[in-house]
Amino acid sequence: MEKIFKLRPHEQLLVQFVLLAWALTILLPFGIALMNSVKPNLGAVLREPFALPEVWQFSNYARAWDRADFGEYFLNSMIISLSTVVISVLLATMVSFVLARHEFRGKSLIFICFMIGVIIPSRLALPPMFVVVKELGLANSLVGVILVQSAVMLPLAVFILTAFFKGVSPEIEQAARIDGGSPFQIYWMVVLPLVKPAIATVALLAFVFSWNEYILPLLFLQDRELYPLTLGMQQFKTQFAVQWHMMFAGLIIMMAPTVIAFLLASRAFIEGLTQGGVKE
Amino acid sequence: MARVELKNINKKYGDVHVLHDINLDIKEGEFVVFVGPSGCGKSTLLRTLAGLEEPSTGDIYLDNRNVVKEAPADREVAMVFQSYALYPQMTVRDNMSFGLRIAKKNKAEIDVKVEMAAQMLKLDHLLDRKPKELSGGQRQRVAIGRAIVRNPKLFLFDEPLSNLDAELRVDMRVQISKLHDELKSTMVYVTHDQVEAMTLADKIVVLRDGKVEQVGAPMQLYHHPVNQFVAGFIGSPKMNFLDVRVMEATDKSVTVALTGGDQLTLDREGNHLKSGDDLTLGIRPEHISLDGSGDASLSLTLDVIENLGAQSYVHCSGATIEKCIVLAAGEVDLPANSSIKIGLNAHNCHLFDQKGLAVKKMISQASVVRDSKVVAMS
Repeated sequence: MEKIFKLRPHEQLLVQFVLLAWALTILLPFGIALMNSVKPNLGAVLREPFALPEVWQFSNYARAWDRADFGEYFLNSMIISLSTVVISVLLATMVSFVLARHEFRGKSLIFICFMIGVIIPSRLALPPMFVVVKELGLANSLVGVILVQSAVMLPLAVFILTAFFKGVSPEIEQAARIDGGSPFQIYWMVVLPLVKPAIATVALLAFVFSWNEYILPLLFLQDRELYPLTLGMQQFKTQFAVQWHMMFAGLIIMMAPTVIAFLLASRAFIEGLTQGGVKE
Repeated sequence: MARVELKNINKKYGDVHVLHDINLDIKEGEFVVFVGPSGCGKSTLLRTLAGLEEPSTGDIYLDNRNVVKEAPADREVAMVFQSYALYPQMTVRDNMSFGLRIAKKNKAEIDVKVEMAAQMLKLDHLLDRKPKELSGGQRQRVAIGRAIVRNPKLFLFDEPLSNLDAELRVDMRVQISKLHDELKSTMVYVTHDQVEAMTLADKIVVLRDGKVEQVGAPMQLYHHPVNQFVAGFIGSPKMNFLDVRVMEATDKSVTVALTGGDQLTLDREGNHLKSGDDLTLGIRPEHISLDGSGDASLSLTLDVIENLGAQSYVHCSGATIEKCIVLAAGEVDLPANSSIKIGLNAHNCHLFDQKGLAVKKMISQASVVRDSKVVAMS
């Protein structure tokens, strides 16, 4: 790969120092969580939270999974997150394709509305959102949480995807029109495969956002059997103390899918799919 | 094959009038080339034919069927884009068969058509590759193949060779010409390269500012341009223009004086001219002699010589002519800034009035112009 900047040795040293410091800042809490997740009891965590465990008790993970009904929470989190990914990606790609490629009255207004959705925090819209979900009879249901999380994710997804769709050569779409493609066929068969990297980005963001979301499920779900992992963590909070070693084990289990999702999506970022289709 | 008629086509983008009352008749199997400078509306006219743009007013007939409201796919046209516009995620085979798959043709039929087109374009060994694995010329051949398999009534080419290097462009030009001979389809081709226009076209349409300046066979345009714009646009290097003054004008001839004092008598209908009128004399670089021989001569200063081996471009200038190019056979060895005398022959000269319109030749030659449907737009 061609280097964008050529740095002198002492500049390289500085850059590497900053990057290393940043990596440590990120990895340190992760390391502490990992260390404490294998300590045998709460006392070991509280006595020396930053020390290596004297006994490495990996069974904490199995106990966290079994005793705290983690299987059920994990399944709920998966249902919520994957559904949010599918709904937000499908809707956002359709909206963005139309906003990027078709001229119609009110197009700018619609785009501005989505941009407002990006700018204004979704927390501000919680009370009316709650009323709407309740009126629709979707309160205390996974469908309600999925729809709300998809709606919250949609503005950012539209913002990202519209920029990508605008980057696709209009001549490719025109060639498909002359070949007889309907608007949906052009969207589905021609243009969508060209924005795969953007779809991977949006899907990843949607997955991580909904997997880690705490407030929305807390507000919209009452039944314990519908809880996702973020709410299920409360199991480790007993009346008098927090079971930190179990909590950390639970956190590590919870992080695993997001790490896997990042690894899977990273390939799509690298692929330059539009290369070769049109003369640059 | 289709006959195409354009009737009173106008195109406006807001207040900008891009196409002005275009009327054209393209016969079955004809190869028509739209030429003109950038922004003259040639691509817009082609896209209007394709159905990618809707004209503000006017009608388009394909085999006497008005298609102006029809979608691109329903018009039975195929288009080759300047940027190839291939589907990057698909193989060559899938690119070429896309239209047929959309039309839900059966697989065996699709395979036969794709194989035939691939053989014709020498793409049969590349069918399973993706566009990014192909060279520019191969990609453009795939784009042409994609057009061929649909067996359209009308082929549209939008500057298809502009992105190719000079050598490949010559090669592809020959291939497109052969393709037209084989398929005998009606083809409309847009280019700003007048060499492509001259070599490929049965008929050239010269456009300027959204208006048709002249329509005719390449040699008609070369020998009988109806105005100074067409005269300057067709031919490479472009025609030289000199200011001249009318000395005598009759209904059979016009005598003009060059700035050096020499006079030339041309067989033109000069009854609307009078002595003292200022005109422009046009002469092509290949029709000027460097030894001063001819019906008149003019003294100029030699600026630069571009020797190309088989021929040379001699750039000169004078007190009353800023730039004059002479095309000489073989090598020319003359010192820069030397004085030379160029010679002009009356029968090779063109005469344009102050509006830029050609002063008509005598009836015998003018009839040739009329028969070939040369259309002048004032």
